[in-house]
Amino acid sequence: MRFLGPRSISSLLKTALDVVYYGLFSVVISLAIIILALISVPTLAKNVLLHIATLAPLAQSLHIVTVALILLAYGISLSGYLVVMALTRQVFLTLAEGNVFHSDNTRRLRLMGFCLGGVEIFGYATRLFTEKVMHVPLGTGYGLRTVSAWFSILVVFVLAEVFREGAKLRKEADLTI
Amino acid sequence: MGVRIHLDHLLVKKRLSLIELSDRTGLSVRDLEILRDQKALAMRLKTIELLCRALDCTPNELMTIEN
Repeated sequence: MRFLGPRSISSLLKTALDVVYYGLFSVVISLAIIILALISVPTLAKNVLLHIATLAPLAQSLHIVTVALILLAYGISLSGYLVVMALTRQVFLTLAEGNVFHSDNTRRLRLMGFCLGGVEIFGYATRLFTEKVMHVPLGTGYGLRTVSAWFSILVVFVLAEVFREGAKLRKEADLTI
Repeated sequence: MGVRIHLDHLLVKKRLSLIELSDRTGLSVRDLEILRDQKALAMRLKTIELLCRALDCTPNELMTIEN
């Protein structure tokens, strides 16, 4: 079983990432359309809220701007994941080509780490804002998930350094005659 | 300070082209170009031996340390 190069596991993963990326892209576009629709047609807001289980009780009390803000927060968060997905696809493209220690992969992985960190912090800020300012209870659920999220982000940064070192060694090998 | 490889000078002296040197040594033309253009980071002992034999020179003639 091959893990790198054409017709390998990484090639298969690249295809799977393509599917997820375009799916996520459609969701983000749909959200943007919904936000625009909510702003254009005010009565839509309550109907949309009724279909979101955690927000259904608030459907009667929330203002249209609030609904648009909630969806905007979802949209921004998903856009962050979209960028991460796009960068992952580019990394996997180099892996599927068998070009493992590509010099651009370091930059991609670092950017991926910053994006994941940004999405995580944005999530905390949104949660805080929703609970404290808008008084929408979102319940618990940030314990172990937070630890694993930051652990993953640190792993991505470490991997970026591994790729940087690999690219440096590869360049040295290429220029050793 | 760096190591300078006098491949261009030796090629002129021996009236050889890079392609002919490539045929004599078995090294690729691309690798020889890297050496000639002073872009190489390191040289294997085997490469030094091949070049010295093909160009009939000593390692000291092939490369010098520059200030």
